[in-house]
Amino acid sequence: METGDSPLLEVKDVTVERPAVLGEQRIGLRRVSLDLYPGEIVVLAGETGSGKSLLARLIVGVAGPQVKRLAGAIHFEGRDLLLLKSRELRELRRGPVAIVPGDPAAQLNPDRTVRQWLRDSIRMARRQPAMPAEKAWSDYFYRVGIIEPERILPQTPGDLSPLMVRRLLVMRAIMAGARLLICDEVTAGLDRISANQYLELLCQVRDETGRGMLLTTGSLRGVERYADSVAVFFEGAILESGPPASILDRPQFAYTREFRACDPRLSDLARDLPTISRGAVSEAEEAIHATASSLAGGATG
Amino acid sequence: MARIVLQRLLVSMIRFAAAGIALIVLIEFAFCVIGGSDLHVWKPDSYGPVPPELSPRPVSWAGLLEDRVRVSLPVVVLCIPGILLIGYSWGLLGARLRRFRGARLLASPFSLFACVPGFWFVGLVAIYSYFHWRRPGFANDLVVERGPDLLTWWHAAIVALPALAAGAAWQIRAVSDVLEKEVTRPYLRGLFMAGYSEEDIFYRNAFRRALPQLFAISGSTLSSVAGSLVCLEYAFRYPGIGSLLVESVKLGSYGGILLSALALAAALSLAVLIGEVAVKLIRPEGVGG
Amino acid sequence: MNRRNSRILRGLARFFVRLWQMRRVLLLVVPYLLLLGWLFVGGGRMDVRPAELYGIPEEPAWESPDAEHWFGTTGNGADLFELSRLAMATSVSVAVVSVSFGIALALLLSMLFVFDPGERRFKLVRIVGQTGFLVPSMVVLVILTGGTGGSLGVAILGLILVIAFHLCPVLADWFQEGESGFDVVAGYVLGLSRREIVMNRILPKILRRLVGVFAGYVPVVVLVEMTLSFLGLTGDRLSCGAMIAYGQGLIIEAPWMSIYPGLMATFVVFVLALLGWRVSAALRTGPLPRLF
Repeated sequence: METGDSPLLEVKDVTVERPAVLGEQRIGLRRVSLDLYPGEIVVLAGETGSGKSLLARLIVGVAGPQVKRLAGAIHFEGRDLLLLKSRELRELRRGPVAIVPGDPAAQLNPDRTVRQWLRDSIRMARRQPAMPAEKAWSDYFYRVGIIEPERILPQTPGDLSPLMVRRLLVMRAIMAGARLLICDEVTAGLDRISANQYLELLCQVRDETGRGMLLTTGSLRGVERYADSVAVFFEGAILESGPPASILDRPQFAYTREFRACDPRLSDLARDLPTISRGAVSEAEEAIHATASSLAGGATG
Repeated sequence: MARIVLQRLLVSMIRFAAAGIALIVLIEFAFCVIGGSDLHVWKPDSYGPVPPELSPRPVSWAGLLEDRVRVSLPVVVLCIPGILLIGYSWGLLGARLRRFRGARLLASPFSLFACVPGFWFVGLVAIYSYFHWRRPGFANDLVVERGPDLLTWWHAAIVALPALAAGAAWQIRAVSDVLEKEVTRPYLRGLFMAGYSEEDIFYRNAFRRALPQLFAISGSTLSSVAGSLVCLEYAFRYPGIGSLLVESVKLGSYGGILLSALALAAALSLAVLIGEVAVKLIRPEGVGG
Repeated sequence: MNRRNSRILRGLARFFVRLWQMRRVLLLVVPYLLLLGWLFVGGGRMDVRPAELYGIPEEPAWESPDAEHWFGTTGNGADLFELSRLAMATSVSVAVVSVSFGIALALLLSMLFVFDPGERRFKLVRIVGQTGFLVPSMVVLVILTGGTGGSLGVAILGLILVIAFHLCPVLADWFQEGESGFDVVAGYVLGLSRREIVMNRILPKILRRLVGVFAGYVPVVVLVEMTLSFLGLTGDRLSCGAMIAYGQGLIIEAPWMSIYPGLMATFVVFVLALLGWRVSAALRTGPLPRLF
């Protein structure tokens, strides 16, 4: 797979603070750096609350006004996203950058049909180049694996399966000309088979269109099949990152090894479920506080 | 569309019939069971011609109803559209300004006025008219000299004002509450993430989806306005349908009580029927508009 | 420092910390106590009849408002400020009693259905609620009180029934909302009975919200009681409504007799309404149906 020379997305030493449960501020991201090139899938993996979704929302400008940047920058095609105004970020979300949230069905208007929703998207993205007319939609449907679009168009989001909703969101992103696709909690709410189909679709879109993708997940299971680069998050910092093979086979930290082992299998039911040991957590804490948080540019060769 | 209208019409008629039965039971309970009267509401002997206290000229019950409705009509025409217009527009604005507690700020002048007893307002106007405008009643020379048409509307406006203030205060808060509840739904966050503007999210999605509920709250608003007009018309000595009810109750005239209460119920029933049909047409079940 | 002293000090410290944590509640409760204390304390005859007050004696001894009598006096020289205060105390008492019993009745009626299984157990409540708005509450009260020739007891009964009628559908909604909570679902999964879940999980939350309902409805019912007394439907009892009604006959000779009782009424209703909004916002009572 070939990647471009300059990164599509460049996150440089981003440190932000966010409000915690009792109202005090705490560090949400800690000197996070990573690069994403066109035609590449980067996976952010980590526990809940480790900061991976916060980074995803920060990139598209939906993190909320209470999240404050302390240092760093996020460049997308040369523009610092953290300096853009809300109107500019909104324009970005309409076209070049698309986000598929973790619970996509709950985030579509339950009263509007698929056809109305697609028309609305086209109306909103009218200034983006090459928005297709309704007659040309069928190509896009087939591209995302929807065989009978005429059956889907009159339905509302509540009638559709979670996988179908994700296919439609990817299709909308392609129609709007998105160059960066962010999938938060990429397989949340999907059974194993649907999750595999969805990940295959994302790989197919990457290979055919050369779009860059940033996926967040709470599990390292199967990342070697779809990811070009993996970054393991811990308490707002990237503990380690690199190609999936090096992360999975030769992890630098016990935390990564034990985090990967935390996916329970049916055979685990007879004994205690795996968890991460205190030793591994302490080692990871020392690492993120002592050294720079990540290896920028190390993800791709 | 015909099927929807007929369906809602049938439901309205059933509701109206139920209201009529409830009124009959209430009158019987109040006058006979508690009040100890021998005149039962179901007996034809309990009804007679229109008492002279209810009408200065001899009329039939139908004629009395017509006279009173004609007098109340300007009050209703001034009051209800005013409440709906102010309530919906300011309620919408209050919901848009929810971050600044807009609804409370916008509703506060009306809410303040709603704390003023309407019948006291009558007294204040009468005192002001006597001492400042130097004439009895509720109008100054300018209005009186312009002729009976303006005077009629002036009087109707004075009667409608307290009811409008109280109704608008409640309507603004109710509309804002409905819209604020709608804008907290998760799908709006998805629209925001997809790049929809605030106006698109609020007007084309949240507001549209909340329309049936917004129509539904008008039913209780209209009912409350009808109730408040009963007192206000009597306080102003305004010979409308509301004061007919109070006068009939004081006289013990079942015909007058039933006539006025059923007229109010019919008007409310019609208004709600129109609202329900409009909601069904705007948002047919199953698919959004 | 010995152990007993430190325990006392620790207890005191905990007490003050608790007071500080409850400061918002105290800020709401104290104005209520002050207002009610001012209305109800201080003596005065509660059995004064307005007809006696507003009858014009042969040599009227009324005085317009001055430094000694802020609201002026009646024809027989009684202080109008004091009478207005007593009248408001009557109205507030009626409102408190009516709203309390109305809420209790509504809760009782709702509880009749709440233990039944199934989604449609409140169907009857909702159907009746949807029909009831055709007969405005004020019409019901006027007919009920007028039929007896004017009686405060019947007025209170009518208020209780109207409040219960309007509140039942709201409580039905709250019960159904409460049942969709995660803790309730967990309770069913663990095998708790419906009765245990309703009484231990759902009902406490609703009872908390009912305090907000009470605070929200008291000023409304005060206004309604005054309206009924203005119409002469609560008997010859001291109330601002009756005082204003009688005062309308004296607006030329003694206008203060209809102005100032209304001012007192507006002030008290305004304070109660302000506190009521604040309490219902703090308790997240939610939107309430309009009664009158």
